Amino acid sequence: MMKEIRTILLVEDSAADAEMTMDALREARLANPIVHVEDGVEALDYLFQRGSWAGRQTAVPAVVLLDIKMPRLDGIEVLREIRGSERLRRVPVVILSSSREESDLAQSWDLGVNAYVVKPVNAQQFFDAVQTLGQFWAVMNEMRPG
Amino acid sequence: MPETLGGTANGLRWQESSVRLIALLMTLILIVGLAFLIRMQVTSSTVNSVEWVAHTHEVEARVFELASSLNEMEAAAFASQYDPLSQDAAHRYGEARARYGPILEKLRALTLDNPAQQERLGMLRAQIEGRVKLFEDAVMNRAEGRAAGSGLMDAVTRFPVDETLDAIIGEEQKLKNQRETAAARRATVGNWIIGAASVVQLLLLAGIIWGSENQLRRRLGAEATARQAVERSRMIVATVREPIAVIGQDLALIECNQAFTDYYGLERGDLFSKSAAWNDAMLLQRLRDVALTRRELWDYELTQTLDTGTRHVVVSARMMALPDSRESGILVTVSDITARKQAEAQILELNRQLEGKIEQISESNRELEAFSYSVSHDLRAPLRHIAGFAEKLRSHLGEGADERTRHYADVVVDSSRRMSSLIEDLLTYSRLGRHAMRLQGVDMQAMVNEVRIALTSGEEDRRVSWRIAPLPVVIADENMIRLVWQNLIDNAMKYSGTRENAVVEIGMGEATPLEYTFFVRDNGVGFDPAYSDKLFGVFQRLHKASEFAGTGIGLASVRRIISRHGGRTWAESEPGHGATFHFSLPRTQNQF
Repeated sequence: MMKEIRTILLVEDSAADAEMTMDALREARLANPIVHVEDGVEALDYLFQRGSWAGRQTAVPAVVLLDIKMPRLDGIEVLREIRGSERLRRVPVVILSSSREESDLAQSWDLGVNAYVVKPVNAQQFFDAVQTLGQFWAVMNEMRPG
Repeated sequence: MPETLGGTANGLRWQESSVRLIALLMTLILIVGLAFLIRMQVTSSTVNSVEWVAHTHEVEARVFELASSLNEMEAAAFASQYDPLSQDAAHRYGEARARYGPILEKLRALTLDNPAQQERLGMLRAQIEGRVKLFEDAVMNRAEGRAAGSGLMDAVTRFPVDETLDAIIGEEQKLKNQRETAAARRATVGNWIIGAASVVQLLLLAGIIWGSENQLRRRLGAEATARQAVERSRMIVATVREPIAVIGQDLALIECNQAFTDYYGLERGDLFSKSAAWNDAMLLQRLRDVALTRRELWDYELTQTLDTGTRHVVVSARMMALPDSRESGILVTVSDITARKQAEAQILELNRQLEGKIEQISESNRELEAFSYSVSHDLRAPLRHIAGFAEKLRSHLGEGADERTRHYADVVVDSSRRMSSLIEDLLTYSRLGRHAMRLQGVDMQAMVNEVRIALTSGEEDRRVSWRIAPLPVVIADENMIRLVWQNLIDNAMKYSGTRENAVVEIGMGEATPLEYTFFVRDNGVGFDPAYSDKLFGVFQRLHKASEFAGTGIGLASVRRIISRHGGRTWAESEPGHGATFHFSLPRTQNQF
């Protein structure tokens, strides 16, 4: 049986960051489709198949790349919802944030984040980091079946 | 306790006075008794000498009587020689002969104490008896008609009675004279003794008078002192500003000082509750309790409304023995704490204001932190984009771009990197002020080595001589202290980078019981001491960026960390002769 190709969900309010991230992921030549949403509410709509995403048929994403500081609902709250959901709690979530603040780190890890990556300012490092993340979570990592 | 002390003093005084009384009595007995004894002595010796004179006269009288009877006998004997038939002579002789025996016996009795006289009397008896024998022989011969003639004369000459009698009288006279002389001498000595005793009596009396005078003067002096002390105590009570009163068990005023009268307008005999200020049911009950249970009342706080305004007072009360009464009184003392209360209220108000201000400051600090956090983060995103897209632009332009275009892109990339590190440092600095400290044992020696190795790992071609002294274990926040060493050692290496033989020295100053001091010294370019204050400020740099790289946040972070630990930071230098950076850490929290 062929492995199902899952999506990569990118939750990022900054258009420039989103563009850089998607460029990097594209350059990694991943087969996985990339879905970009711009804030926490939209992310939850996608994950719980609500609102504009109602009736979505695809399985849970291979990884959620989650920014923290976003309008309406921030990344920490999104993580909390995911971990509180019976169906979604095992989805890999990687925080991709500018913040190295202790409170952000502590809360994320307490809520069971799978990785916490501080966005490097250096452009090359940023590309490298995103590509590594994509390859690891979308290709190398084996998800729980179902 | 005062009673016991007083009792002891009284006892002592009683003992002392009884001793003195006994001594006085003994002296009196001595004076009177001595005089009496001496007088007795003198009198008895006078009586003795009178008796002796009488005795001598008695002996003389007896001797004369004896002599007369012997003469009578002799005369009668002679008479009967010439008239042998004379009955008269015979009769006279017989009478005289009968008399001498008892007289001799009397004399013997009178001189029993004198063996010499007894001997003489014995001799006298023998002589008399010899004479009598001769007389009677002569008388017998005459009666028988023989010539008497020489027999009588022989009796007188052979038995010289008169000499013996004279000797006896002489002896008695001599004895009498001796005794009279002795009596006179004794009388003289007695007079002298009486005279001396009188002098002693006088001296003793003078002593007694002087002693009692002295005693009296002392007593008067003591009484005056006691009176002064009492007066002084009274003055103190009267003058003291604290109201003081003694009340009876019926809560009526027995005594009070001027301050009490001034405060409450109460006089002696007034009921305590007459003044509205004292009409506090709780307090009056407590005062009754003091009288009943004899327990003290301590610092009862009361607010009184007086003519002079509202006063805050504390009242204390305790039972007190009254010297002039069997009943006890209650001593009530009042302290006016209005000023203190006002000061307390003021302090409370100031504290409240201060707390408000602190709250404001904390609030503005929080806002500031939130602001700097937010600014830093929000600044980073566009920077990342500038850098990222400049990079993309550069690769997009490829080889086709000219030199100038590539230079522009490079400047954009470099500037964004520089700004990024500024923001990174600023964020670190901001975090240092906000994060809770996690205190633990930090081995400074191990940490310095670790930091040194980390900092030199990329610069193997640099030659630095390290001189690291033994360092202690302190209690501190490990991550923060690591940042301190990183900054200081990094600076030392950086500013000594131009030296051929760079020397970095790390050690401790003299440790005091209060703090440890550490230093990092280099032999680098140093700095102008005039600017040493600026050194620890945020973004303060004393060197051009083209000479030495850096954001100017390192030493500011050091100062912030050390001051959060309660320590100090300072530096000294001479341009061109290296610099020394010191910091201290308090030891109080460093003791295990």
